[in-house]
Parts: sequence; C-alpha cells; structure tokens
Amino acid sequence: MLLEKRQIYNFSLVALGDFNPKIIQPFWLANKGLIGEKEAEDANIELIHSELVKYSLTWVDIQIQQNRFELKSSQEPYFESIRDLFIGIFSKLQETPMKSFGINHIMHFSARDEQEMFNIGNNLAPLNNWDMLNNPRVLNLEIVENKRSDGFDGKIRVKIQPSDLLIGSNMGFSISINDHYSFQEKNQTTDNVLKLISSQWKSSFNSAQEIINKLEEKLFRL
Amino acid sequence: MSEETVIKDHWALDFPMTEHSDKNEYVSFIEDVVSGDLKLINDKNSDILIFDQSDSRKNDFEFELFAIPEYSKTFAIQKRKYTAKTQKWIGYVIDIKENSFIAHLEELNDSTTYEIGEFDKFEILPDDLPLLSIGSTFYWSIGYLTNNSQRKKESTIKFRRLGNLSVEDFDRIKDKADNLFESINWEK
Repeated sequence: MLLEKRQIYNFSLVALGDFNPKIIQPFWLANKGLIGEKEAEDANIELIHSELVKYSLTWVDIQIQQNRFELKSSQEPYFESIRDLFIGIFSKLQETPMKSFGINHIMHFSARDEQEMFNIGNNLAPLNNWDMLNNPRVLNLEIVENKRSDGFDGKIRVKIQPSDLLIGSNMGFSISINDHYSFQEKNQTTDNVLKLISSQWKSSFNSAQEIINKLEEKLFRL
Repeated sequence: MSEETVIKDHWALDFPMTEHSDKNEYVSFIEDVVSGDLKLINDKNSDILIFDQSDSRKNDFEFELFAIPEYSKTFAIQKRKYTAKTQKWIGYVIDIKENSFIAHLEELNDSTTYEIGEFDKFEILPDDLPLLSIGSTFYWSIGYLTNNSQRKKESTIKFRRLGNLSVEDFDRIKDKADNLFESINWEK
C-alpha cells in the first residue's frame, strides 16, 4: 500500500475572504481559550502587521493576510486540533466574510530507485509523446476535477511533483490534494463555513486516501 | 492564483527576498516601513520582530528589512519536524483518579470499536491540565516524530479546545436548544 510508504503528511486549512490579521495574535487566542497561555508565550512570532501576521506554535504554523487565512502542520497528531482552532477562531469572529476554503493534504513518498521514479512520471504522462526532447522527464503534473462529484461547489485538484521535504534523496515525490469548496453566495458568513468544515472533515480525509489508493495502481504500473 | 486555496509551496518571508517567487507580498510591507507605520521591537530572546513607529531606528529601515530573512531561518528549520505512521484516537474522560485518568477511546479511522485506557496525569501538558474533567475530550496519538535528523517514538495527548463561552455565545446556544426543543412533537 502506497499509504504505508508515506513519509510526511502535511496538512493545511486555507480560507479566502476578508480578514483582519492583527486580531488573531497568540494572546488573543489564549484569551479566548483556544490555546494555552504558555503556548501563547512560547509562540515563535515572525511578523505582526496589519496586512500580514505570521507565527507558529509548536504544532501549527499560522499565516493571515487580509484575503487569506492559513493554518498548516506536518504533525499528524494535531490535524484535528487545527480544525478545532479554525472553528474556534471563526466562532469568535462570526461576521468574517468568507468566499471559499480548502482542505489540503500533501503526502510525501519515496520511490524505491531511479527506475521507479522514472516509471511514475512515464505512467502519468507517457514520455514517448516527447521524443522531440532528449531524455525527457516529468517534473510535475496537476489535474483538476472541475465539478465536484459530491454536489458541493468547488474543485478537487491533485498535483504530483518532486518532494521538497524529502531531502538527501532525489527519489522523493509528493501528492498534493486540494479539496476546495466555494460559495455561490459571495461573502458567506462563518456559520455555514464552519458547518461545512465539520461535516466534510472525515470525508475529505477518506477521499484523499481513496485518491492515493487509486493512483497507486497507475503510478506503479510497469 | 490568489482565488485558490491550494497550499503555497512557500510562505512570505520563508526565504531571502531575492529567492522568493512572489515579491508582491513584500510591497505593502515595504511601503509601511517607509511610511513609518510598522513597529520594531528587536527582542533577541524571543525572536519577536515588530516595528515601532516611535523608534528612532525606523530611519534604518533598509537595514532592518534585510535582517528579516535571518529571522525566518528558524521557521524554515521547523518544517523538518514531522510525524509518520501515526495512529490516532479520540478520548472522552470517564473517571479521574489522584494521579491518573480513565478514558473511553475511539480510533479515529475506525470508530466501530472502542477501548478503555488509563493515562498518567503527567502525560498532560501543564497548559491542558485545567481542561481535565469528566466528559472532556482529548486526542491521543502514537507515532514516530522526526525532528531534523532525530527520530523517536512519541505518544501525544492534546485536549480539545473550542474556546471560552461568552455570555452571547451561551445565549445563542441556549436559544438554539430552546428552538430545537420546541420543534419536537411529543407523542401524547
């Protein structure tokens, strides 16, 4: 199973809308009971500015711009806590207009050897179509499901590319799945967004796994 | 691209400016430094970097701007911290003893079965200790943590935080519960 060969699982929640970055500082989170006080004290703050706030706690990296809110982590034990933090923040900021959000799964794998790495690329985009090039290789590939099969507005995008995290090896590749939901009604308030995140949480992980499982059959075909 | 929720390969300030692919993120930042809008408190102990409008050093903005990527290096290093082969449970506290607590555990990937487990209170982070009460929810996981080149087996307990309820939150929830209760048609 490809999933068992997974080396790193990066996860992020991204929302697009109108945000006030300066509000969402570590001590505001602690004050609202969303993180501990010690966590707020220990936050690694890079920048607090009206247009960009960026800091990290031990288990999550946080970046907020005026039009983009993002939480991400590569520590699986905390993925549910990221969801809770997202829901907690926007339960407190209920009037925040949002127009879309995405649940991102980025999984990094190692190929066994150079030949397997070549086969993966060749299976995805047959390289005999590129015989005008000398020794062609696939760098990255991105495919979009333009209309979601679950009836929600949005898209699912899958991107395969060399891994930038599996250092010390040229045989690493990552599969990124962007589970994107958008809203017909522009500037949706948070209530519906939070309900959707809660209800789609599990299915997003299940469908990411299903995509990986189905891709496996194709990637490793000889 | 800005209308997409795809995770960006790199965030603003992750790398020195000359290597950053999207310099637009810096434009308003630089403008604010020039206009004196940003604050700088250069706290060496905490890595906090904030510009102070009243700080006379604001005239040295050019120097400070180039100092920013230096701070971001610590952030980039943290990306090498990741976990693998993780198994996760959600737990509900059912009993609390003097030095331990007992919980009902459901595996997150397979909630069809449950287990009962006893945990040492010492496993709880000091910040989370006040959250320990009958009925409170926590996430428990075991897996391998890789931090740069070190790898170790780790058990993690993190209590669920949904935030403090304000009076308005409480009223809103109570109203919802009242409405739900009124909508139930009881059989007579």
